[in-house]
Amino acid sequence: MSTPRADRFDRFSAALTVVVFAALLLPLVVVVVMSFNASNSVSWPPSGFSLQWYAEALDKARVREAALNTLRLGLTTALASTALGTITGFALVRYSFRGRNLTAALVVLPVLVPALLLGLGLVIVLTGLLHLRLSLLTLWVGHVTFTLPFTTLIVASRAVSLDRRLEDASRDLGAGWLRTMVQVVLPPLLPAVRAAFLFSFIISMNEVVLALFLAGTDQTLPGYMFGEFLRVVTPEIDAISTLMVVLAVAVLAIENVAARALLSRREQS
Amino acid sequence: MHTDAQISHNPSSSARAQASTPARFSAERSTGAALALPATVWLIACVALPLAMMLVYSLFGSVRNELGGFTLEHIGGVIGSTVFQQLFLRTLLITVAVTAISLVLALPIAYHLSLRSRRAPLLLTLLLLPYLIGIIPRLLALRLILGAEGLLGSLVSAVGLSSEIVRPLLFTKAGTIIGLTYVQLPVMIILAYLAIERLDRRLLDAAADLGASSAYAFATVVVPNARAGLAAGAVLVGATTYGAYVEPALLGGASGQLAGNVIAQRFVVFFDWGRGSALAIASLFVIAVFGLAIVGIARLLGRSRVDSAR
Repeated sequence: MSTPRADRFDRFSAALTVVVFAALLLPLVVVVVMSFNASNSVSWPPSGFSLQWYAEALDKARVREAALNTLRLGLTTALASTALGTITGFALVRYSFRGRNLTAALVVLPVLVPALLLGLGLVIVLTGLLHLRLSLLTLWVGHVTFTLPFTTLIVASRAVSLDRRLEDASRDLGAGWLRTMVQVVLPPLLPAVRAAFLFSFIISMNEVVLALFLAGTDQTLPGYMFGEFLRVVTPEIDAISTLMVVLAVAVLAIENVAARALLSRREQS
Repeated sequence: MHTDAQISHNPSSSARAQASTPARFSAERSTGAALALPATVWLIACVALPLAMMLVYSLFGSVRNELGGFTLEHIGGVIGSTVFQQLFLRTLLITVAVTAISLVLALPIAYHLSLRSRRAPLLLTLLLLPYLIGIIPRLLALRLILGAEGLLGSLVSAVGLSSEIVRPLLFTKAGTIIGLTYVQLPVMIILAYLAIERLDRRLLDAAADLGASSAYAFATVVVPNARAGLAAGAVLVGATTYGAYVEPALLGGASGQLAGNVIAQRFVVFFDWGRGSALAIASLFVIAVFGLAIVGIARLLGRSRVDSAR
């Protein structure tokens, strides 16, 4: 583990890291700063401090409805995708079975097919074949599909380190399959399951391409912001996205508190 | 055929299960299949079927999005049209540019993060921040920074130049390239980091002991050993870029529109699923060729160097 003396290339890569990170993070700062802008144009520099764009955004029924849609979609997507991804990720790592290679190939497919083509293909299947009307439900189908590779891979990467002997011991001591799963297999997987839930929630909350083509008239916040970007740009978009970050952080915090409460209750019983 | 299945198993206990109780082993096989069934069915219905339907519509699409008789009109209309040829060429060139720029920037950064930095966990967490804030506000901020009336414009005029010289950066091909690179770069850095981080550090020590500079070790040890992971990152970034919709729509202007924008227009504005599907299938074909080319280049890179991992 000796660290050789930093030479010219080491210094170059360190400097490049600083510059690129600054460039990647600067726009995030700009978003938050602009949301408190007093002027109604998005030009630099902002003029004066004001909360008017927050008030204006929250005052619109369309924005409130879109916010509710985004939250409902994010939570239901995260629930379904995490449940499906957990059993799939575990099955892929733990068992060998016929069709395993097919499942493994299908799981990475939504990552390699661009979201746009996935969404338009789903439009054909959902409206052309099944005659469904585009709504939050059809978008949910798209988001579960889109997030499934991530939830599956997150759980699978953790399931690799499970100790199978614990399962064997549990079975030898007379526990049934389901009881072994819930009491022996699931607890060490829980951190990954939680990460999968939060990750899929945040992806769904910010996803825009599927939201544009699969939601019909049920708008989500990213869909609303896309329309505003093309129509007329005001700092309202910055205010909404700052609120979305606050919402995401709140969900992270609530999940954290809930998980702790559940874990301590289980340890007591 | 089942090699990767066995690698991911705990080999000793797996062998024990097979040897001692064959009945239990076959029960385990069906348990595995049962657990994987819901996702398999879901993905067949929601990924494989949509792609298959696009293929069907590109060959049988008729008026009013009905299915009719077999026709080569849609495929022929895509392949034979110079407009679409130019569109695909432009999209491919921009895809190559975005992938190459991302890779060139990500490689030294991933090298620094995985082998030379003590703050890698913090910096990797910072890379996830952009995902928390979503793509549209970030592109809006980019527009604000790069615009003639924005940060860059005021900087340029502060040093006495006309702010007009930054105008070509937005609502042009350059705007599309900048927006896409900005969105894809964190992905590429994370995947390059994961690829490089696996490197056996002793190889770097050996290279240094033998007198190699960091740059030489980077080019001959780090990059060749990480080539599989780097190729995976390049394929992922390239595929996403080729199918991009939002970045060109918001920052590309008229000249920076890509294949994705035209495909979406066919579906949503013209309700022409036949021609739209033909364009989508052709795009998937180009993406597949792009991916195979990247994998091929990674193989060549491995062959020309001594594989220092073995």
